[in-house]
Amino acid sequence: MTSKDNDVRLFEGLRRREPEALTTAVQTYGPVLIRAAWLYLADAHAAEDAVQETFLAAWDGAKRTRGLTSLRAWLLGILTNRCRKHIRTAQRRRKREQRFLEQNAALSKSNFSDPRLEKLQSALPRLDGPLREVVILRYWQKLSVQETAAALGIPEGTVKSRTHAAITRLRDIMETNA
Amino acid sequence: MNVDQNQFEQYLSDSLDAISQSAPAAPRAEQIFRRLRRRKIRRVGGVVTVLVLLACGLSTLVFHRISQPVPTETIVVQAPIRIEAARNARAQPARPWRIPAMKLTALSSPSLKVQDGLTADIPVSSITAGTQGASPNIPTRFVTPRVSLPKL
Repeated sequence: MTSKDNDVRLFEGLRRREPEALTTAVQTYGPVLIRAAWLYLADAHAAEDAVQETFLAAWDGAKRTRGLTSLRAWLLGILTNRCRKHIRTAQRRRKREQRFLEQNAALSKSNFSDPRLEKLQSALPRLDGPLREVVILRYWQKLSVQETAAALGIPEGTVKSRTHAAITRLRDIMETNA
Repeated sequence: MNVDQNQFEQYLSDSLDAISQSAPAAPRAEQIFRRLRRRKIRRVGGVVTVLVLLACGLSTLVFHRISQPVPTETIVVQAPIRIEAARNARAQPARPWRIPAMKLTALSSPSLKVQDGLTADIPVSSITAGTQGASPNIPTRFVTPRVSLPKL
């Protein structure tokens, strides 16, 4: 049985609200989603929260979803929306969040021995949300342009232009920091 | 950082992978199920609260209406007065009535504040004839006659 067949079976299980399907989905895609959320939010608690909310939304929304192309892309799309929501909420508490991000960046800097990783990790939160989403999905998850477009609900042309803008901006930030 | 686009993209891909390794542990399925249960309880609690509040509000409203009698007001109008039964009234007959004088016991309504000489729809609970004329043969309940008030 191929991975695609497994995904279809899993998705049908979610549609029928089978607890086993949810358990399997959490076990299969939980690690991928938590890492994506971590890259996006740079906050362990918020990332964990976003992933849990993603599975709850998948549980609720599977029945309404038609024409699923990839379960991973679908879940990543939901996760992206949840992360955006977290960031919006955080913007209301901008000062506190800013302080938190600085602390977080300081903490994470000490985690990496490679200075290039430190540089990228501090540059990533400075990218605008839509650009960050594209970077994570395209370069970390290695989704195709088509899959990224489906996950984010945007046209393929927009994915390409955002990818280009994100790379340019990221290089600018990293060169400025260098 | 003088690297070409492809090298940078490769570096980005590798670095993101390395950074993502430091992510916290993925949530367990039990945590999701616990959240589902909590959410269900919250929803049921919310519905019950809304229903209880609605019931309280409605009962208060009904009790208030029952305990307060409907205010009435008596208007005495002088002759001549012209009354046309409302279209939906079961008035027999439907032609206009001319009555020398009559007393209207009307339900309290903003439309009672009409000026002299104007026509107004007045919800009437009972109509009794005045001293100078015969009792008009119109229904005495749930009729909304159109009354032309003469200038006093």
